Amino acid sequence: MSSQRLEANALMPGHNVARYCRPRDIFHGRISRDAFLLRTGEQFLSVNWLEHFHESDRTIQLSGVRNALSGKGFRVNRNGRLAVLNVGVAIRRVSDRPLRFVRLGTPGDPSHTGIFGYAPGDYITAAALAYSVSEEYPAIP
Amino acid sequence: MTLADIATISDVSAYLRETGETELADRVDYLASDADLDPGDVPATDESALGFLEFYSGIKADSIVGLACSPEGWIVGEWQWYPDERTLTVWFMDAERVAFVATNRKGEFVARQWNGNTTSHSNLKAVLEPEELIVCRPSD
Repeated sequence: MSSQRLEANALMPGHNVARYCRPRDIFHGRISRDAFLLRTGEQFLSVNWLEHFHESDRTIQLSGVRNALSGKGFRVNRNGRLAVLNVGVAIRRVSDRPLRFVRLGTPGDPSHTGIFGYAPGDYITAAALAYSVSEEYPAIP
Repeated sequence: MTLADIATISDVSAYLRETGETELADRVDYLASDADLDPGDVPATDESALGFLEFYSGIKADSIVGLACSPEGWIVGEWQWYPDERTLTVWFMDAERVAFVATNRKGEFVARQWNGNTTSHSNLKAVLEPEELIVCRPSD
């Protein structure tokens, strides 16, 4: 993706995203830092932009994310969680990385967003992103 | 069963259960199973479990540990219940190699220069003990 498109589709600090977290990344009610680690070959972390679905109603936003994930064939596990992060908070917490939240938007999932600016094996950024989680919800209500 | 007898993740679970770590043993059993596996994920591996047990049995910490599992089958130990800003996450890639991220009492990341790299158990302990994240138990 060109740098121009990255800039044009960057989310604003006031925006929020949700990350689907696997059940195996959840213990004692907490989400593991592993949920925010990029795997080998990945260039960004997949999340969904909440304000795409509604300006502020979290219920509508989360419903939109769930529908978007299932609509593109992503198998959402019953024991999984949706972790919500504020873009501005996360960027401030990862201040030594050029973190960008870029809307990628596909026809099947227009809210699809990537967190760019860190690499596989960047455990510190994964930890900082995990620490930025402000809310958690069941992946399936 | 002694540590020297342990060769599989089932042995790790059995050892934890024998030593009174029932909740941890249950969690290891879950991570070794096919339950809740997402597409492409694999269960926790024997080698990773051996690495976890070797590390866990050799230290004491002011936090309980929670266990997660990466898509690759690496057990992830999370010590996130210290009474202050200390935290520790260790990815047990096999019986020898680990990756980690940790914060000290001030909440500052430690050993930043190792970001993205792996290391050995002995090196990990050498970094964590001065930061008071762990205390190494004396070897038998």
